[in-house]
Amino acid sequence: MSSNTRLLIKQAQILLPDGNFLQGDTSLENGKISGIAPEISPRKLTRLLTQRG
Amino acid sequence: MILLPGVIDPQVHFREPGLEHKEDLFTASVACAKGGVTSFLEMPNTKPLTTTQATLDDKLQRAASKCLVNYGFFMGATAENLPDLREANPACGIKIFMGSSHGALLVSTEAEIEPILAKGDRLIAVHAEDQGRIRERRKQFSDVGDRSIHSVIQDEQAALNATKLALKLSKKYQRRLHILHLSTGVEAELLRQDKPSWVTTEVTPQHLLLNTDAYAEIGSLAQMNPPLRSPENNQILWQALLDGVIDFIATDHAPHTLEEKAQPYPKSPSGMPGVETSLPLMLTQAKSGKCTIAQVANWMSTAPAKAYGILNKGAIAVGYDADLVLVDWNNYKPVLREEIKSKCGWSSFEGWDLTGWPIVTIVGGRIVYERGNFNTDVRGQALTFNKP
Repeated sequence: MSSNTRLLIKQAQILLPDGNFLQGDTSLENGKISGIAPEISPRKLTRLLTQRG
Repeated sequence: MILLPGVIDPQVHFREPGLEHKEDLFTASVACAKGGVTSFLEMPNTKPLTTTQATLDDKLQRAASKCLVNYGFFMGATAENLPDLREANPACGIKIFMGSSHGALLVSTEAEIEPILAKGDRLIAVHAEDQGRIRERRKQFSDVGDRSIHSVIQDEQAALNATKLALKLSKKYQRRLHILHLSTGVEAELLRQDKPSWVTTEVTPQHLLLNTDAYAEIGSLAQMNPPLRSPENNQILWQALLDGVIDFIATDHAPHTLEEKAQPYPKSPSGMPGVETSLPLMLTQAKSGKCTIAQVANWMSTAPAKAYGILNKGAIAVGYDADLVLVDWNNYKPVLREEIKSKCGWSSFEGWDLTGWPIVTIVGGRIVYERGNFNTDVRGQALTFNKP
């Protein structure tokens, strides 16, 4: 069961497929990874996941 | 915080149906979520055995109703179910117990194994131990009750004999072969010299990190099949993993109750749990400089996805499934028995101080585990497998 809600993981060290790390944000939408970037702006109905929860 | 692709554990025994006093698909999937495991491939030695489309369908239905993470199942080979092995779907592969099993699932002679490899293209995964040799040595050492005799009875030669036979038949038919839980240096060196492109293999964290010294420390909690080996084997397996001879990591999560484990040898059953400690165990090794975080992610997610043809998993990339684990790379925390979520309620690594514990585990874009709390409304999906 995949999700219809949006999730934004803020400022993590993201392991990229080439083995390098990117310090940045990862957005998830409809069960898929929808964006990976140094910074992604939160949109409506997005749950933010930060270091503190 | 480090964000990694969710762990794909390609060899687990979750005991349902039929052995739910040890584990079930719900409790095992909760343990998976805590350990950052977002997908698993489960073995057929349940009751009934997973040897037909009907028993495979039953497992898929059970998993759909209660599993918090994604799931796939092996079909078990018997001497009589060749049509089922070729046609049952969706199955991640065919499991052959060449040794360390009994009843219909034990397919131990060349005459029984060869027809299974001779036709078809589905992945065949073998538990490679020479049952004939084990049977003889069990008689030879029947008067020895010390648990460490387990590693002597099911010795390195028993593993090597079976791996050689599986390799020989795989080469004869160019049949896709996966050698499960490689446990000895001699097998690793054999594969270093002679590993066709269509053959893969795996190692467990326990065969990398535990050895025969563990019998004195944790008794029967160290008993598994294939058995733990000498410390020298730890080193050779590590090097084979680092060099790419060994392709990936599986836990062989195989829980038993403490009461069962407390029985005297050889009544004590073999197997130990693993899904909730495997990622921090390996990330702790990365922290110590033994390997890199990227290698751990490859061995525990990317490589198993590739080997089993699981599309859109095993990497963090746009368009991939949102199966992810966020880990704490700064703090250490010991493995504590009271925190184990597997129904068996113990770990062979109790007291080990580990880092890289999951903070958040995400399956299909939904948070299933977050800082000690579980969302038991989340359900995983049945995995699909592309043929080679």
